[in-house]
Amino acid sequence: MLLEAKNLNVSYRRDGKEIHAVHDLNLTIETNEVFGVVGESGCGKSTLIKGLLRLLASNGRIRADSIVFDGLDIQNMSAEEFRSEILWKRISLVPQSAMNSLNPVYKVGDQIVEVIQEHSGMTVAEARIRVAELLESVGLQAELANSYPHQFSGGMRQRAMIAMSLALNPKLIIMDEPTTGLDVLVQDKILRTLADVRHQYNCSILLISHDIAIMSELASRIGVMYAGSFVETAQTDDIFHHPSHPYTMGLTNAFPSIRDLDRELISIPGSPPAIDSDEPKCWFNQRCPFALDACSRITPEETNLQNSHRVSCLRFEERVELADKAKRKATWIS
Amino acid sequence: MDLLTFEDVSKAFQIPRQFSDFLFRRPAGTIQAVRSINLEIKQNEILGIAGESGCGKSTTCMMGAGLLNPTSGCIKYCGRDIANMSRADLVEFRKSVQLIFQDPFESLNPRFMIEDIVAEGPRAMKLWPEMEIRKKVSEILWEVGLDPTRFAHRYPHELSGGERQRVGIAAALVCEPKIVIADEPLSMLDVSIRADILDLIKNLAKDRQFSCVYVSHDLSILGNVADRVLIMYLGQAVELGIAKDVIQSPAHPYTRALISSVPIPDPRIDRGVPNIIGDISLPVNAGQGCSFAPRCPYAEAECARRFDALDTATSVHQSACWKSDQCFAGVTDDHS
Repeated sequence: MLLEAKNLNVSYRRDGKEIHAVHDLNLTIETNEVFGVVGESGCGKSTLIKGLLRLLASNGRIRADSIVFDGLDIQNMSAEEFRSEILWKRISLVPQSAMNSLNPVYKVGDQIVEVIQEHSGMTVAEARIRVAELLESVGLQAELANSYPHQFSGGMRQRAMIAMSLALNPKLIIMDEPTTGLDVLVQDKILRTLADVRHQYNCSILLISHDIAIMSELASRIGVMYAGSFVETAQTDDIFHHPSHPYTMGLTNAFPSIRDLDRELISIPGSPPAIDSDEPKCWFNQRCPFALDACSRITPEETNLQNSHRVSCLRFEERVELADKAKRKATWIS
Repeated sequence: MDLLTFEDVSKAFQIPRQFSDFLFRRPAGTIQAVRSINLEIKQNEILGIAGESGCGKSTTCMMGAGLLNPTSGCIKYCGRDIANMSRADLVEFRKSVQLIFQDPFESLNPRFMIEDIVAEGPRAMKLWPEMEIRKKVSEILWEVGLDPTRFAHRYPHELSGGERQRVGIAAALVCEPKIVIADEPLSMLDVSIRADILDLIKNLAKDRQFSCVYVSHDLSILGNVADRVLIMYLGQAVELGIAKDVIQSPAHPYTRALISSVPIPDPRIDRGVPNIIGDISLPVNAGQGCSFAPRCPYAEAECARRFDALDTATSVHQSACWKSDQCFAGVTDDHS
C-alpha cells in the first residue's frame, strides 16, 4: 500500500460556517496502480488533493485519523519536512490546466532544472542531462529544453509538465484533469504517453477527472466521489459493468459513447448539494430515484462486496435489479 | 428550400507583420481559416460541425451569423446575399439567426436580471410592444424549464451552470429564429446534466421548427444530436453525411483518425491507435491541395494538388479525399 488516508475531512470556513468539501473519506492507493477519482464539479476532487498536499487556502482545514504515505506518517510531519521530503521527491502534482502552469519568462528546461536542484543535490550539469532524458521520455526532443513556453503547443506544454512531475522519480503523481482543454487527437497521444511513462518509471498515478471515458482507458481502479466522499470504489471493469451505487449508474448513463450512438443519454436530475450540516444521511438521496425514507436519516456504511468493490448505499443488495432499472429513462424522471 | 447557403466561402486572416518582416521585405502571411466551403443548411435539420481547434468551425459559424464577412464567396439567407441586403431584410436576418454561446458563466450580463437578459434581443430590435415581449419571455422561460415566477427576477450568479445555459437558450429562442447556431454549448457543463440540455435543444428544435448548427469537437455527442455531420480540417470541409454513417463508417482518413481517438467509456473495448502523422499546424499560406496530406498515412504526390470539394447539394455521404475508396479497401470495419 502506497497511500492510506483514513476518515479524511477537509472543510472551509466561510461567513462563520464550516463547509465540508471532503467528508469522512477513506482513500487507499496501491503501489503501481492508476487510481481514478471521478465526480462532478464541486464534489471535492480538487480539494482532496489540495488537502493531501497541504495546498489549501488559509480558510481550509484538514482533519484525519491518519494519513500514511509509503510508511511515513505525513499527517504529523512538520511543514518544512513535508516540503523537503515529500513534495516533488515522493509525490508530485500536475495541476489543473497544467498548460498554463509554466512560467512564461523562463525557458522550459530551466524550470525543470530548478525543481531538480531545489529538491536534490544534483549539479546544474547533471540536472540538464536529466532534463534531456525526461523530455525524451514524454515524447519531446531534448533541444526543446531551450524553448520558452509560448513556443509550445498546448499538448507540448502538457508533456513538459508531465516531464517535470517525473523529475525526481516520485512514487506518486497526482494529475488533476490532465487532458481537459486539449483536442481529442492530442489527448489520445497524452494518454498513451502517460501509460508509457508509468511503466517506465514504476509510479502510481492519482488521476482526477470528470471524464469517465478517460478513466476507463487509464485507471485500474476508480473511486466515484459524491458530496465529499467515495460512494463507490472498485476495479475499473466493475464500475462500468457492475455499478452498485445509483450515482455511478447515473454517471455511466449520462455519458455518450461513440460506439453506442443509439443509447439514450439520461441526466441525473437536480444538482450537487452543499455539505453544510453533520446530520446523518445519504447526500445523494434527493437526486436518487431509488431513495427510501431511511436514506434521509441514516448515513450508509461502506460495504465490502467481492473483489475489493466497496459501496455506500443502503440498497446495495438490490444492486443488479437497480442497475437494470437505472438504464430506463422513466426511472430518473419523477 | 435551404435556409442558409455558403457558396464557395473563404476567410483569410492577415498575420500582423513583425519588425523583421519589414526589414527583409517579407509580405504579410495569411491564415486561411476557411477555404472554399460549400454548405447548405436545410429547414428543420440539426447540422453538426466537428473538427479540432483551428479547423475553422467557429469562423464558419461567425460568418453564418453575419458577424464576420467572408474574404471571398457569398453567404445567402433564403436566397439573398447577406453582404448586400436591404435594411429591412437585414433586420429579418438578424432576428432569424441566433447564437447559443459556449460559456454560460461568461455570456450572461451579471447586472441584468434573467428576464432582462432574455428580453434584451427583442427590445433592441423593437420586435414587439413591451407587453408582448414580457409575455413571450415568460413563455420561453417555461419552455426551457425555468419557472418564470421563480427565475425571472433573479441574477445570473444565483443560478447553477445548467440553469444559466437554459437562460442562454431562452435568450436565443425568444426572437423566434429560423436558425440557431450553438458553439460547444455543453462543454462547460457537468456530465450529469449534459443530456438534459441536449434533449432540450433537440426537442425545442422540433417544437419550434428551427434548424440548428451544432458545433462541437465531441463526436460522441454529435452522433447523438445531429442529423448530418460536417468534418473540417484546417479550413477545408473534408467529409459530410448522415451523422451515423460518418461516425460508423468514416470515409476520409482524417475522420477515421478523429473517430478512433475518442475515448470509449467501456474498459472492455480497445479503440486502437489513430492512424495519423505528427501534429496539427496552422493553415498559413496554404496551397491548393488537401491540407491533411502532410499528416495522412495514405498521401501521394497527387494529394498536394488535388482536393475534391464536396458537393453539398445532396445528402449522400461523401469525402473530399480523392482516394477514399482505396484507402480503406480491405480494412475491416470494426465500427459497426
